[in-house]
Amino acid sequence: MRERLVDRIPFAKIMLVLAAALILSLGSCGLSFYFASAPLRDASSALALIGLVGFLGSLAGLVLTCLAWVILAIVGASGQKVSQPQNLFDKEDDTKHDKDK
Amino acid sequence: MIPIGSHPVWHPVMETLAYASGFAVYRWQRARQGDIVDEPQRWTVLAAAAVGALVGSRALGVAEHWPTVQQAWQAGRLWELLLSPGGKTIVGGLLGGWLAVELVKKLSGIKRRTGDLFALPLCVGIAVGRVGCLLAGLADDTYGKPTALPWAVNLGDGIGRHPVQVYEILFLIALGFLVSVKARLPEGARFRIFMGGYLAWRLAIDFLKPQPLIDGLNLIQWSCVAGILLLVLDEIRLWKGIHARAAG
Repeated sequence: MRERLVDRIPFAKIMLVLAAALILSLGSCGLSFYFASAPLRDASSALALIGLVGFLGSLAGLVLTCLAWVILAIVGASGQKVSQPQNLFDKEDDTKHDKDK
Repeated sequence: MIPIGSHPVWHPVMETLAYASGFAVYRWQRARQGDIVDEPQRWTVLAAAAVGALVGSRALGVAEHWPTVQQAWQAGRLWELLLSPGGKTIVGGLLGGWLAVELVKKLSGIKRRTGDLFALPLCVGIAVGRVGCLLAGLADDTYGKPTALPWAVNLGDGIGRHPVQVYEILFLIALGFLVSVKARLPEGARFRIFMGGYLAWRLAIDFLKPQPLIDGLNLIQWSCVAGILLLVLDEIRLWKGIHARAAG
């Protein structure tokens, strides 16, 4: 049987990595706020930029991945229900029919 | 007084090491003991724990700085709330992660208790992270109250303080041994011992931190009380289930 798209994409792993990236970038953003008041302004602005890019990227990635996971899980679940082979005749009816013969 | 050459840059460095070491211990433990759920389910639980911990730790971290949040809100500087003020709190992360895992387990039909594999990695991760809290000094909000004890630490302001981070590392070493004891324990017991132990510890140790109080406790302590109540309710529910099965 063909594997569903939701099972093929490792959403859980992607979300774990993005959550870790978001937690860490949040830390570096906080750090750059601290550095902004210290004499290390150049280092702080570079750190702030990296932190901000990491923060926004991982946040957007996390939200999009979560949405994609939920949508594909719903679509996959409903698709599975629709694509299930349907028994046109019950087995009981078939045997009954055979007996009648 | 013991001088600590503190610098805030240590915090993210040790925080990264904390996540890495916690994950390494988790992988080692899973390879050694095996797992009660299959791999996709474990990854789902891990993802839920990570996202829940992220939201919980940040939410409690922001709530701790409520007056600053209100000021930023009133001044229309909403973007600042994403990055500042406050950091992340361990208690918020633990409670958020726990609730998120329970929610996701309910949604995806996972019936087993999956927390045991997290107990020791959390002890290791938090202990490593606390080294960063100590080395970050006064820039981190986790320092202790002033004391004249011989092991007081000087974080740069010339005042001797309780090394609360060191106390916590020692406690986590003891808790780590307790949750890795080889005795046969019911499923989920190690995680409940960890959570109960850590929340009770924070409830006690936070009296040694100069934090603003609400009715005698700080916000983290109130969260610990809520977490302990949840654990007690969960334990009662478990016992009821065991007795019902025994009677049936």
